[in-house]
Amino acid sequence: MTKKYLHLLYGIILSVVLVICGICLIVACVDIYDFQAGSFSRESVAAAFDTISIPVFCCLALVIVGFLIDAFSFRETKLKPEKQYETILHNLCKKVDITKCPPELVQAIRKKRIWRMAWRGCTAGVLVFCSSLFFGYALNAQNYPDDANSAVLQAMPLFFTCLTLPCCFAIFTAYHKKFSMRKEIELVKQALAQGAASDAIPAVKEKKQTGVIIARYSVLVIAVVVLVVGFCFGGMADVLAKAAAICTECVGLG
Amino acid sequence: MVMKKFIQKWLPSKRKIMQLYFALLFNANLKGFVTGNIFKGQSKILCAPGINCYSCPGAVAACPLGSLQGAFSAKNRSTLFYVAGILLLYSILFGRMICGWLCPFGLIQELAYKIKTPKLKKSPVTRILSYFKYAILVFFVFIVPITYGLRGVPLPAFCKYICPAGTIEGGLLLLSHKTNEGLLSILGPLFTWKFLLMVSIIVGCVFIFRLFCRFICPLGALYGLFNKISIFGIQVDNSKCTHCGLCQAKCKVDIRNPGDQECISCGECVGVCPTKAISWKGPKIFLAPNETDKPKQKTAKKVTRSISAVLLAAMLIGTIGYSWFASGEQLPPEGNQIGDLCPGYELELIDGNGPTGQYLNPSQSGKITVINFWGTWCGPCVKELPYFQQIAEEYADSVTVVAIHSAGLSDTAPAYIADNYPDSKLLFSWEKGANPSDMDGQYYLTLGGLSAYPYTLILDETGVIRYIFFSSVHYEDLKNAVDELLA
Repeated sequence: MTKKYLHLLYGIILSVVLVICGICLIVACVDIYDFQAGSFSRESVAAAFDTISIPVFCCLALVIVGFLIDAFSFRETKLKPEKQYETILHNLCKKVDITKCPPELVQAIRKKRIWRMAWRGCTAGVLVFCSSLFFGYALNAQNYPDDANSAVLQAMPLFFTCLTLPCCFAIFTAYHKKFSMRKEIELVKQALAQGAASDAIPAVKEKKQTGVIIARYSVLVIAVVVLVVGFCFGGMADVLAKAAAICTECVGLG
Repeated sequence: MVMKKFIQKWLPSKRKIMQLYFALLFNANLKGFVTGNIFKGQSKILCAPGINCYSCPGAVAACPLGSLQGAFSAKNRSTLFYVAGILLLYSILFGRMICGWLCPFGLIQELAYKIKTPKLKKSPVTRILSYFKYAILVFFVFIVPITYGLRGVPLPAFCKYICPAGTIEGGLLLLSHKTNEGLLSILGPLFTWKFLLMVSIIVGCVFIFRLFCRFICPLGALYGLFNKISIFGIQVDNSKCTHCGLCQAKCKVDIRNPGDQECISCGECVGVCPTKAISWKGPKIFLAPNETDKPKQKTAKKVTRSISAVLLAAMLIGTIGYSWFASGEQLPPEGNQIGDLCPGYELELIDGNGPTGQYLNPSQSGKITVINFWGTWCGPCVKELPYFQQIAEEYADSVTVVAIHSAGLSDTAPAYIADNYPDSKLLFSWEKGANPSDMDGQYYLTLGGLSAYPYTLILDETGVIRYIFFSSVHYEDLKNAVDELLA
């Protein structure tokens, strides 16, 4: 068995132990909450966590062993560049003269591009729909009862639906785009091979930095002005008040 | 040879040293970790650039996200200007370089990722999931806190429902100390949820690089918006770039190009770029021109690292010295346990116009006395005040209910009372600290306050403490306690 497989095996064992450890910790926590509600003490919490001490110590031992092994292994991994299909395609297309390209290849490339655009359009549509649905709900103050916990719980299903749906579409589009671009690159390469190369040398556009500089210093000036205004009118008193007391909400105590 | 390789491999990088520096700097109150008390000094008017919970016993600066959410409900509108100004300044100066170099929670995540397990690499899925943090930013940091802030109820929704840094740095570190045993009594479903989330995120960080930063952190999302125009960070010279994709392959986060909204400016891509198209950006005063083209100077590197080590040691010794010897001792609480006689104290009563000229000694009122410590700046306090008013009205003859405003921001109390409780039977009082900046008053500390608001005690007719509530109470809890004492 090679070093690589040993490393992988160790990693898998450690991952499994780690996940078990995490689950045990969560179960212990839920257990404490379920059976000791209202009567927590340091001793009872420590007793509950006693039950998970074995997996935790196993996990710690494995982690330390891993570090020790890794400390004396000096494997050098070669960096594999990530393919930037969009740039490759863009650069290839700049070299193509469409008039010299065989019509069936032009058709095929166009078809791929239309599909790609259609998927992007669909994703954008879903995103716009879900965003408007979410903002329509979230910006309506009447949807927030006095009890903040119920308000957040009530909003969660919509929040996650509005996120999951466009996410799924976007993931599908990303993979579709990657697949479709690879095909498109092959087609463009075929076209170039069949003599569709353009004689003109593509001009390199230089990006202007003026906009960035203006934006940078405008924001800087705004930040300083806003900060000075806030400071002069005593805005820091509230910050100190909040920070100098234990925020029970922030630490999850209620 | 092996030793040399070992040292080369395990010597911390400049970035790691900086991360450690800043984690120490923002948590310089080392004494707090031992005593279990949080720091209350003036340095907390400043926000730390990264996520660092201000309820952490070691924290000496405020959390920018907590302060921003708190500012939405602050009576003084200039608070919002102040916090927004600080955040804008950090954003335009450093952008997400803060995530990579200054954020203590980023360091925790990177340390978890060092555990040698198989890792989940970035993919189109993680790239899309990286937009999730913007949804969190919009909903939990802006919409919910603003909606409740407009109703006068402070609600830091992100801190309350999500922030794992608060659970680790604030919650666990506070709860693990014996001084704060009382806080254990208020653990409930919210803590269970936050604990589950924290464990999941930390375990996730072992397998996925900076899981929280990449998919959840709203502060990173905010800073990311300014990444391209920030003064410091990473920049790409497009005229030199050959789009070889080596920078993307080296990068562990979901960048499309170095320096974009996802880039945490860790600088790992600078070294791998074959055409030296990637470089640091910043004023020339901080960066040597052509820094990336310079051959590595071993002596200079050694000197820098030695200086860093000396500075780190000095900082540690300094912070330990400061926190142990320079800061004053807090008065130990007296007579603050259930069954103890409540210490006598003359409270100055106030109403909507300020002091009424009357005084109350809760332990000698001859009635059952409910003492509630509150603050206009505290969400749960404001929310539960109507319950105290209801008790004061229902048991007007047999129970005295007094709400004492914290020493911090006590000047805001009369206006709040005038607006919300103009003719209430609920008595109001305030405390004044020895220094204008003191958050907790003498009486609050004497009665065992742990700098956590609200805090409620119920005394019987003889002034003996019968009930203590370390956090929010419901009307039913108060009514049951009062009924039991009356019976």
